[in-house]
Amino acid sequence: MPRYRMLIDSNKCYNCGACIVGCQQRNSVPYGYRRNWVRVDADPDYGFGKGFQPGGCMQCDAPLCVEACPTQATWKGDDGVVLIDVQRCIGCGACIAACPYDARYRHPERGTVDKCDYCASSRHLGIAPACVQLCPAQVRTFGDASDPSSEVAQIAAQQTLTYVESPQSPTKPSLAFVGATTVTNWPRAAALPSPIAAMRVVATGVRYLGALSLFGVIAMFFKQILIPSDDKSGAEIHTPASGKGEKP
Amino acid sequence: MSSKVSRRTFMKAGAAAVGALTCLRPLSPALGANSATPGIDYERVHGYCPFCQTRCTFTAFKKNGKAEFLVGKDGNRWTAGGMCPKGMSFLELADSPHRLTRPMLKTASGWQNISYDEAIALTVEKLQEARRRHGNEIARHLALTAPLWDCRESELAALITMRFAGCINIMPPGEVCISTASSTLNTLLGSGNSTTTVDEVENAELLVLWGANISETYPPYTRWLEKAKAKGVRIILLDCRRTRTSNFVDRQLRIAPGTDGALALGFVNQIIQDGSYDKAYVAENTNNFNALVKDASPWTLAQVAAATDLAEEDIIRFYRELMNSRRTMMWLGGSLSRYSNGMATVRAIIAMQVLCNQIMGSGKGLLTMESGKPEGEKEFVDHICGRAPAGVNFRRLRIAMDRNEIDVLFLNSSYRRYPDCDGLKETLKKVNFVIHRGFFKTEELEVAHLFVPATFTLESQGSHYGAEKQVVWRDKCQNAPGDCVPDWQFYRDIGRRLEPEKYPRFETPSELATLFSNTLPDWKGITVDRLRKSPSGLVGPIPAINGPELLGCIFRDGKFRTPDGKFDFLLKAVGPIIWTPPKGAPKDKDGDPKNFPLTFIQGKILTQWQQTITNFAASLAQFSNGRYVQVHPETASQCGVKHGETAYLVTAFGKVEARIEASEDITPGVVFTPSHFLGTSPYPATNSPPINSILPNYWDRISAQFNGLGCMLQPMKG
Ligand code: SF4
Repeated sequence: MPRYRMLIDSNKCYNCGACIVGCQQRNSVPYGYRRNWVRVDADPDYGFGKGFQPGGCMQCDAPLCVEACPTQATWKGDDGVVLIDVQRCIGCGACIAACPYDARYRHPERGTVDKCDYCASSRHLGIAPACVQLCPAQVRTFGDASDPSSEVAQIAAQQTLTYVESPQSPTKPSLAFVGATTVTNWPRAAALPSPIAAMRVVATGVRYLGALSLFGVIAMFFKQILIPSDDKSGAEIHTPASGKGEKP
Repeated sequence: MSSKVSRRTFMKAGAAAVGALTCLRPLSPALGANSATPGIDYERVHGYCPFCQTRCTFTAFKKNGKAEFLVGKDGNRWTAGGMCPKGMSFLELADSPHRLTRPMLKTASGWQNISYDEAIALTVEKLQEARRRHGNEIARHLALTAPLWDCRESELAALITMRFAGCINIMPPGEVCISTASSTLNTLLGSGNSTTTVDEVENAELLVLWGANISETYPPYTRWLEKAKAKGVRIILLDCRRTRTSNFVDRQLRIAPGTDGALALGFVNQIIQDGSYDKAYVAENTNNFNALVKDASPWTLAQVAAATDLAEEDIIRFYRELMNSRRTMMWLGGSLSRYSNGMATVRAIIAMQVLCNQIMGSGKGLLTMESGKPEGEKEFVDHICGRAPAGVNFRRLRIAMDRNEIDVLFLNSSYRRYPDCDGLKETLKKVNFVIHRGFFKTEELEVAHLFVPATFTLESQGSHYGAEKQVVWRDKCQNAPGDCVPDWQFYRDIGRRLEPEKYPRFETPSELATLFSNTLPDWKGITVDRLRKSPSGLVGPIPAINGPELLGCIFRDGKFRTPDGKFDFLLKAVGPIIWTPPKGAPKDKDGDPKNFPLTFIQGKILTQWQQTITNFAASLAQFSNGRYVQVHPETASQCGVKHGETAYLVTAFGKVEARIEASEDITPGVVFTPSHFLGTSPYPATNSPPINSILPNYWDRISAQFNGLGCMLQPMKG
């Protein structure tokens, strides 16, 4: 299985916004909401006096959003991408609060949370994520980091990488910056509203109870096979064709 | 019939189901992940952005009859697949709820929808009526303003129709901004385009971005700055503002707006004085050198420093870098043309390059993004319609309109692109019949009698051209809504009714493009088939089928494209190169430094295109926050205005409200505001009265130019 990764050379960025609009159009993100961004920071090293740092979900290896989700609607996939199951997402916002990068938003029409998934919906078309493909400065490199011949693997092997991480809430981001970047410690501390934290405890309890019941059913099943509970166990259950069953 | 299931079987099946569910559970997120229908394929349709001369090409991914998203063409050698947000806004604009999709006729009771056929019939009737009234004098009574928002075939169809209608007054699209550079290049060098292709910057030693704010105005071309830098090319930017482009240069000279000509003449003077110009080259390839000696002689170092506000040591260093460079390229920004002294400036810069033998050869020459139009259009129209004299420019047309002399005006794009647009609005009301082609409710509806909705780029096929003289092709991706029709169809349908026998027969732009390439020898190799296959477009001329594209310097025989093959320092029709401050500037004789001590400049910003379409895009409005003026904090404080507050930007001709953006990115004493806003935008972020309502109707010899004007900032209260 590929392991997707993105590397960003922020020194090339001039904040044209192509990555933002391209992403919105590819992924039906309403204008005004964003899966990605460009940070602007004062920086005397640049002629403009400002440096730009493009970003998006850092596809962290220790994602606090995953920990925060009460319904297990978000998880880190084996392909290196942190994904969301919109069927399970209840839009509670716990992951939004937990993400130190503010990489998630609640979709105003769907009510569920949305974030960068490296344009998973169009990957089968053989095209790079929108922000990679449309960037006029070729700031971003994307690919399978597990393939040593890929550009992304080669850059990772040959260049110094910089990680942008919250000092208070480290998350092991997999997205990295090539060489130096403007500011590295801007991500905030993760936060989790207390009702949602409580919900996580309840949800965990419910999960354990569910597992216990499942264990009971399985145990009963084996018991029935090994030690049938009565001699009528082989009796037939008659089911009329109408579909209206009779009690045995 | 009844089915029978034993209890044991039931237990087994139940357990299997539970087991299966248990096994499947870890996979379920992947199945229900946040993805659009995986496996669905899309139809792919070629396209290009019709806005700037970068002319980005893309593939539109189409599903259910509509483009869903765009992907830049990686194989485009000029852009490498990049685009800017403006080009992408078409996806949204095509579906905009604000779009007008029916022809409308202005009546005593307001606008009324009419059919497309009625609109065509009415237009033809108005043209025929004018012909009956004016007979052979008809040419003086009809006009068309460009640009058309469509393709080259639309331009051709419109030009042919206008000729058949008797109209020769075609207002060029760049007449309010960049025509000066293009016309000057054309007159002096014999080509109104860049003298080479942009890839040559990698072969230069020195690249001067002369007012060329590449990263802001032609974003994908920033890659050429990076490529040049990677090859060790030194890049110097001349601009009074620090912008995104500043991040990609080695050094910036923050020259006072509109004083570039003085800096250029100072260099000319210096190398003539110290004899370091290429004497042999000048002797062999130029005329009237002595005229240049005279023109440049007043420009001593002290004079240049006084005019440009640059320190003498910075000027000396710049001149030295120019003299030491064996291969220098100058990238002429559109901003140079936007002052009334633009022609003198462009002439002086070209003279610098000629004196140093820096025009011809690899890594040398002049770049401009302001043209790129391949030759042949006029010949083609002449071939079909017969030769015709040139028409008037907009300055004269306005006078004619004021005298009630214009019967029919085809108003494409906006009148607000011309200065003194409020005065112009009243003038336009004197035209008997104004047909406006557009997309949205804009101020043009106030002066138009008939509105016929046009199409966006995805809705019709056709070709276009870019800064490298490359011709690109697009196919039709989706149907236009309502009665919106492309320009080629609109003008063809009028032309066919006017001259059914003579009007060329074509049903699609492809047929017209084929007729064009079959007619003009230099276009033989630029076929629609070949264009379709080329992600970069084809750089003309290509006289042979399957012939090669010719990149690099256009002067392949080492001669200028002038009648005698030489460069003339004296432009007889214009006179000597006399540099004076821009008209109406605080330092100009017509200026009023007491009341208007600040220097006004306006221009494009990255996320908007001119004063029309893009203001209606939510995708672009998200980057804006209403009209603003950028001003240095010292200047703001001198004017009594503060960062973030709303104030008046005032000229001798009016005032507009604007938010103050105090920033050291602009030199003290200068005020910048973007040019794109319009008063009917549905988004507050892009809604503001047009800037041209407070700018005077100043012209150089070629086009309307008003940057450099004196202005003032006034607090709202008191
Ligand atoms: S750079 Fe120019 S051609 Fe390219 S997308 Fe932007 S406006 Fe269009």
